[in-house]
Amino acid sequence: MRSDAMLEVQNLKMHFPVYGGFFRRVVGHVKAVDGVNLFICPGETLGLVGESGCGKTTTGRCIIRAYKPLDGQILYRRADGSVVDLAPLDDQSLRPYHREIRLIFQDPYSSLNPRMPVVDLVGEPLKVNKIATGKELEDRVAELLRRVGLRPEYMKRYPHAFSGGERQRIGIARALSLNPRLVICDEAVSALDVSVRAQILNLLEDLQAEFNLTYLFIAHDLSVVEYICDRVAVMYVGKLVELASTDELFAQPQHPYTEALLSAVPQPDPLIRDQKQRIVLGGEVPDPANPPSGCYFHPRCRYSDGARCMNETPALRETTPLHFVACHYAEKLSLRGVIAPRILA
Amino acid sequence: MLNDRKQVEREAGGPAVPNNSRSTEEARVLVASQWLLMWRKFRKHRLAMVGGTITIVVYLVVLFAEFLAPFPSNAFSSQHTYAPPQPLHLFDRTAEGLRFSPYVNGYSITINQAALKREFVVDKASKVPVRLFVHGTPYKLLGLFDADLHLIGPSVYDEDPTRIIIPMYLLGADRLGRDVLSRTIYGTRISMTLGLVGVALSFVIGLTLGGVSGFYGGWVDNTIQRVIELLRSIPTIPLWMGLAAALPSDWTPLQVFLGITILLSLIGWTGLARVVRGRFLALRTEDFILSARLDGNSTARTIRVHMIPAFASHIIASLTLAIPSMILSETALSFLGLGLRPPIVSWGVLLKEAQNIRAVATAPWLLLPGIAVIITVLALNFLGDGLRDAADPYGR
Amino acid sequence: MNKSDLLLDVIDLKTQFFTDDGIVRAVDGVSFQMKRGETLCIVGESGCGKTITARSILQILDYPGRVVDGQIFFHRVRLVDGKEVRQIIDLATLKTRGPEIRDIRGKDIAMIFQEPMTSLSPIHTIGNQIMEAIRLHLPVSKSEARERAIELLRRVGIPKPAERMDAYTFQLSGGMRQRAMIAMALSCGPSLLIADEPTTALDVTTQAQILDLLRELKDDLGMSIMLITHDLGVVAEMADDVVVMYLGVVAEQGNVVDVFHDPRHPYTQALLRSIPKYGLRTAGKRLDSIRGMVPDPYSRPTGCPYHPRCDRMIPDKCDRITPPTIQIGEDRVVSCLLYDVPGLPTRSYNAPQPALCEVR
Repeated sequence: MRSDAMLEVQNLKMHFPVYGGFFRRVVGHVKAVDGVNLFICPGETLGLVGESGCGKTTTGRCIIRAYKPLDGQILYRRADGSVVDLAPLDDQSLRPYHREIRLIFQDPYSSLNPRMPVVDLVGEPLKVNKIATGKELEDRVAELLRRVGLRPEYMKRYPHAFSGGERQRIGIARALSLNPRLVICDEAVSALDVSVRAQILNLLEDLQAEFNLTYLFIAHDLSVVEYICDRVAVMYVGKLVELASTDELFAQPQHPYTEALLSAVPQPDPLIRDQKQRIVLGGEVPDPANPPSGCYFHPRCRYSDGARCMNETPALRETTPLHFVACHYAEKLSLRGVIAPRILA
Repeated sequence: MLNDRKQVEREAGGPAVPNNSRSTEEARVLVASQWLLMWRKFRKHRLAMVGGTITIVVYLVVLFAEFLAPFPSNAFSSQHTYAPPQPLHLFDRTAEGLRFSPYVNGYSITINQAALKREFVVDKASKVPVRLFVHGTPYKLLGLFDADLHLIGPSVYDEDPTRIIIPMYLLGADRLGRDVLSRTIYGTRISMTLGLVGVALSFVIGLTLGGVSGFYGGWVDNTIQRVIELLRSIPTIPLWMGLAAALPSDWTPLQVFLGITILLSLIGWTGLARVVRGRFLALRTEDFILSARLDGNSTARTIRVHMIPAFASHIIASLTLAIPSMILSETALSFLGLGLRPPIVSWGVLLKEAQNIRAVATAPWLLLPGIAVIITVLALNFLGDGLRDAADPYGR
Repeated sequence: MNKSDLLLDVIDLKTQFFTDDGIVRAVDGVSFQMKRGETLCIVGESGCGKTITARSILQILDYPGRVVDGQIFFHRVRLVDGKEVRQIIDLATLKTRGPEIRDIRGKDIAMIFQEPMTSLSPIHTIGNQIMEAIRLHLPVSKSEARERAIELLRRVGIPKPAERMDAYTFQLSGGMRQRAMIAMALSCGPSLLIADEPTTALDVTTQAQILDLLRELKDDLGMSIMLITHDLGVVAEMADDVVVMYLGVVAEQGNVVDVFHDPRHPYTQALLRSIPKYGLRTAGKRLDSIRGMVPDPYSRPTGCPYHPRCDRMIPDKCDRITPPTIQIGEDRVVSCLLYDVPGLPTRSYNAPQPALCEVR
């Protein structure tokens, strides 16, 4: 394991069976996560981006061990410096780690039990882990609510009394209640309106500074990722194609898919829309149950050589320091980053 | 950091500012629990409210049958076989004017020589005084308290509780001169109790097997589902007939009652098991269940604290909807003579009396228990519908 | 604005939903104009009434919604016997199920939705659905309709269109479904295409494809597009004119460059400040967020609906007075009391003179 990392994922694989036919036999596997390697350093925010179905959510859920991965290692360094592999652990032995690694869900509606008042929702982790009860529990909940910007008086209310943004604050308070070290934000702001999204992003940043949190920020919105992340990992059909610092990745991507993805994002500046040459990818994202040979991106890649790319799967390798790319021609290509907009308003 | 905190509080300022325009009524909604929300939603369902009221009334009849029925279920009068209903008059015209003094007219009985049968004519001249809260045949209220009060009854009762000397057949009499009204009231007790007990038993079986099926999935689920399909594919009437015939004929009426109940629930649990399984499967994939697991909840606590409350309301709705089918099954079975047997009085048993065409032609009031069945089943169905609609008050 | 340029003139539109819990004023006096051949983006957060506005135009509101007031003048140009016939039709007065509006739906104004599955039938092949849409409005034979449908599918970039004619919607990917729905919408050559969040459910690379397609189609077919979206990036990429909506009213309307680079309404200004600036990494800088949240539809604030969240709120004015629509430039309106100074004309809407139009 890297000495600077807090969490390192090695060759993570998660396949889901596909049933078919009269007897519901397994007829294939969706390779949702197919050999992902990444690492997260303490105190940083690592973005994990990709299009729907690329396996970013599955990766997050494997790391938090909501799923048991098929293969690979999830090495986690505890505060005392000891390293554990989370992948093979059973539910019982995972307990202490579930306190340290927490998850914030995308959907603030379905992730809060509608039948519990806020005090129970936020206090549940404290209660279950026998950390606090009664008055002490209420005090801790009140403090947590205050910290995420909600009035503690509202703790007797049920989730249906809150708007999407407020619910997401409750979700964040829940995640924070056990003093976690690593928080996985699974599309935590995707369901929110623009004006509320900014509030939550600011809150996440404040909390990170205050509690020295490390974030794995799973998202599909590249402008948000660019804003909040220190480093970014790009996934395509279950594999990691590029991992680099945010500045470098957005300015000088080294994988053709990253380039196309960056150029596809509509920019909120009407004056540059004619300047930028958008790379419109042809075709569709391949079916993860039946991916193409070689580099999974080769059928849509405008730089594909039609030979090596078709036959040989590129490994993720470090091309320049701390810039990892899975492309045979990473060094030879010179790819375009994002054009800066004029300063708005 | 202090600045940041201020900033956060400023941003959250909007929701945090108390909104004066919100009434206290709305403030109560905000802290409303699941059940209160369900009640609010349920109240909007008019038909369900009517159904619910009728259901409550019917169950009150079950509890206070002895008080409401003028006569015991087996009290008879050989003189009044197939006596027609006597209309109840509340006010008596006396010399001093109209006075509250309820009465029914007596009968004058003639023997029709040609048809060889008794013919009853309501005799306007004779008045049988009727009293409210009259002291009559003694009974044990709710099985606990000695009482002899009846809501309505003739002013005089016979010493022998199995005899009716003064006729008061508000809804007519059957072939032994027994009061149809009293018998229908006692029949309500048996039929509704059987419905409730039967559903309770099916619920236990259904919840267990459905829960196991939904929670474990895989081959367990497959096996249970195939058993359910098998049970559902057998035509019910022959199956009942076979099973009912297997009950020993020397059983006491109570044993038969329990036997029939168990039998009906052994067949009736399948629907409930499916509902439970469906809810389990749907809930298993909900984010808040995953979130509960990640909080460190054990499987048992996840099910108890997070899953069961989430489908309790759905289960209650399904249970309500299952009672009518239970009642109908019992009625059908007893009607065919395979279910409960006299002297137990149930709606099915009573309807069996109305089986032959002569009875229907000459004494249509014997069909009254059928109307009771229809009203009750409809009421329960409306109630169940309303409950089902209100079961998930968290529509987005 | 030249009169013949006008395509759609919405005046003081009010749409309300009569629910058990009270009346929801989803659209509360919306006025805007749309020129022929332009792309107009209606942008706003959830609950601002942008979708309801579009649905009101086509009279396809869900129960219990109803247009209660206002006019929607649609300037229709149709070729009849080779001659251009111009008509001005007030869509708000047409019966929701009447033959007049049905004749306009699909033929003159078509609509596509966020989720294609809601408007495409899962039990018919896409070919049959497009052919039916064609034959509903145009007198063509079955084989002609088929030819046309294949051509449409090719036009929207579906590979092997002749084979895809027999495909069912569930056999297509999200992007392909959206293309099929666009093909169906185009089947009768509408002059206005209303696209309600057409790319929100799609991935960013697919979104780029669909936006390109829409732009191309607009130029080739000369139709106008009303694009409803919450994504300011999409607006900047697509729009000629922008209508910014907040809580059922128009906050501001204007040319896209003006609105993005010189926003006037405090809401537009705050909205633009609150989005991360893509391509300008601003690490460590906080986003300027708008405080509070969109109020729930049952408790609309009095006066200007934005005043509880507004940083430039004028006490005792904004919370009492409903701001008028103020013309601050050519084709540029804002409804905010900050601009309510003498000298600037408030815009008054005049319905077209009856003599000029043939209202059906």
